Amino acid sequence: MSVPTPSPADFAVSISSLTKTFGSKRAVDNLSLNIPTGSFFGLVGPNGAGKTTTLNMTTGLLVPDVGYISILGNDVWSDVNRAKRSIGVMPQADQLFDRLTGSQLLVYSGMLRGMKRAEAGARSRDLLHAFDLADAADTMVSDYSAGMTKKISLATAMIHSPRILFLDEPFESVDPVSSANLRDILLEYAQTGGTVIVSSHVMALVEKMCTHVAVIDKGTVKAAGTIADVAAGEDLEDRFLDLVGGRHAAAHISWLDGGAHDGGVHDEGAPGDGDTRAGSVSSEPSEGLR
Amino acid sequence: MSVSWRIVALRWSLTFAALRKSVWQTVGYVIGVLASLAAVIAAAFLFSWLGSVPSTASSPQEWLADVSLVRSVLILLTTVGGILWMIIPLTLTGEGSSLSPRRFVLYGIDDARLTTGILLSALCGIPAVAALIGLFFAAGAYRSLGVGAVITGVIAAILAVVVAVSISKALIALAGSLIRSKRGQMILYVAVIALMIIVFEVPGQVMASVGESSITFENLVVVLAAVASIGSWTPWGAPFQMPMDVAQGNWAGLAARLVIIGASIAVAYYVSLWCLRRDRLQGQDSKATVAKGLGWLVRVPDSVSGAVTGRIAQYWQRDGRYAMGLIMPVILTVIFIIRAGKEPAVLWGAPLTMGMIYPMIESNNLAYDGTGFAMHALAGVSGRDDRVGRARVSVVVSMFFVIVTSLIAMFATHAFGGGLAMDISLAAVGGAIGFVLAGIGLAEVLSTVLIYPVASADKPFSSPQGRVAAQGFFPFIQMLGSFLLMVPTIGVLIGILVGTGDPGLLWVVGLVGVINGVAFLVGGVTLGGKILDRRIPQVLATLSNYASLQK
Repeated sequence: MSVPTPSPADFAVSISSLTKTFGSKRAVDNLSLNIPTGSFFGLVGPNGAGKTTTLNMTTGLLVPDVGYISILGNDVWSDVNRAKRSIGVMPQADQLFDRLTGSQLLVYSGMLRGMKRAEAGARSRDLLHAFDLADAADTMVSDYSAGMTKKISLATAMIHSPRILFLDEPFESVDPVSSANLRDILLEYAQTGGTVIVSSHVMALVEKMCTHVAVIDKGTVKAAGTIADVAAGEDLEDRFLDLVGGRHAAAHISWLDGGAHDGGVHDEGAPGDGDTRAGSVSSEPSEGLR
Repeated sequence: MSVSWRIVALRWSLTFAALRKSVWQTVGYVIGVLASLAAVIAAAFLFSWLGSVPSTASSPQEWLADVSLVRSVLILLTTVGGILWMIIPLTLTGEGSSLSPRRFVLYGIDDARLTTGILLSALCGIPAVAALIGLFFAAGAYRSLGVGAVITGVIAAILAVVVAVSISKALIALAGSLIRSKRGQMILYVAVIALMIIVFEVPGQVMASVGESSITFENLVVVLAAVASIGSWTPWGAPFQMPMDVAQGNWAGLAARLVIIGASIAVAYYVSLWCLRRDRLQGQDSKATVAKGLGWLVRVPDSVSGAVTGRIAQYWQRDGRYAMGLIMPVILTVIFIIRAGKEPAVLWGAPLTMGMIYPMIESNNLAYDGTGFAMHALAGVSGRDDRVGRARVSVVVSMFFVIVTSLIAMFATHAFGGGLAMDISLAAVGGAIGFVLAGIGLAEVLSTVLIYPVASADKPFSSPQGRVAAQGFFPFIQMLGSFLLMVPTIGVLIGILVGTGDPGLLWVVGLVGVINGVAFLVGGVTLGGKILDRRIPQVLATLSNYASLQK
């Protein structure tokens, strides 16, 4: 008997022919991807590749134009609230009710998913301890540092013990000690059968932690599989640059010379002040202006 | 181009960039420009009329009285205008965040140049330019006093605008630097609102106590002149006394006023400078807010909707934007008590007004959540749980104030003695309860559809861009809708009054009112929940869009 074709139920997440268009821009273009249960799955790609849009549609925050997404074999969009309760999505820093204290926020996050207050309270204490936040339990989240906010965000996604975790740049601005602790928690979670889906720009981290990776660019999957498959004998970062392209030789910026001569600011009214310099910088528009 | 003028240029570049980006911004901006233009034209007509009055004077005394009327109007106008210029940004609009000094810290511009640049850019804004042009017409109103007075008037116009803008900027800077805590903001808010109530209520009370018979044009001119004399020694009113000083040869007075104006501008400048330096050197001395335990989360039902209730109750306590909902009822009650005087039945206005306040706040509840609402979306909270949880808070808070104010009205009207006063009370209390509940029910529906931007919780006194244009429109729908939902109760009231004329049946109105309100509350929560379930992705997109307006 031949090997049966895998059905969506065999995967933690199964995406097929997903498409989403914003105005004239096709953010996600006929994207298909299977994420095995129990994997530590990295999603990598340049800015604007469609990672966040894909994740938003998968987690029930954005309605797809076309396509089918299942989580643990269930169609996400036929009962979106059930799908949401079976997963944990790490909110962005501005997606928290930051006027609550750390422990209030965790209990709130648990109760919103239908947990009883006592259970949510007990788990919030465990989480605060595990995330080195016990001292800040009674501090308002708006007064947290960026790293602490990351940690509490991650904790809100874990309090209901979901079977799949979706994390967006989980270690950004987290200090090395906390980040090592977080990694241990996540690895242990994956070892006990949980699926972790991480979107990140940090290749070293993806290579170190993930079992699988998918490279996404221009709304489609360029490569997907185990780290070894995708890297194909190369360094993962080099392979990524090959797949995505866009690397160019460092532009020579004549005045940027590390201070050997007076390259500093001229006095006001110096001829050509401003204009010539702006002209010699790379013509690529910066991210923030778009 | 000096740094200061470059900041002015930057201000306009930012304005035009914002206009290109958002339609609402453009609409709001056009409305602002039109309003300013209208004000300038009105000023031109007013002052050309005031200036022409003396030509019809038949005696020297009359002529002087007319000129003093010009003076009185101008001084009062600039004084009140100057004070409003100070209060409005402080309470309602906040400093324009685009040119906040904090944005310049990286560039190493020295504090004096930066302060000058920010002041200049405020002087080059639409409101200041409109005020300046309007006041130039005012200078023309002094034409009967000679060329010297008119020239002084032109200078006075410039000085008046510079004074108003500098003091306003200095005060905002001072409030921004010194008032860091939520409590400080709350106190400022209450103080300013109390001040405004006094400003708006006192003249009416004074007029009422004087009695209408004694108000004549002559009396009014004398009163105005007396008040203007006080105003002429304030920094805002002083400029437009100067043409009079010149005409009358009152050189000592002129010198004194120039000193007042100069000193005010200087003090304002140095206050701005000091705040800038303090902010730059000390940074944000933020003290972390600490609260033990789970707070409101333990005082609510142990359910999803209970959690929502608990979180919102906590926000009422910690978020400055909800402060209005707790302060306004108290202030309104005070106003009704002042107004009631000999007619205590007026006090029934207080509980009935609660039906306007709370549904109004509730009708934009998702915008107050902001992007935080994503937590509900991520957790898969059902629309119904979300709506029930929110409605619970509004119902409890509003019912508290309805009952307290109703009891005050009942005591004042001696309703507990029974009779007609009690009959009216039953109808009024039931009507007020119904009005609030139906309004909240409607709000639970409208808030899922008609979302408009609000200030961010971090800066409750700032105005999000595009607010002015939209906000006048959506709350109107809420208000109109609340009245329409009460048609059954109003119908019963009219039926009883016209049909039977028996006040003994008024209790029926109260009962129908409560049933009317509860029915629409339940209906609104159910319908709102269903709509929210379907609209969550759109709601999230709208909220993250508005979040960018708050920056």
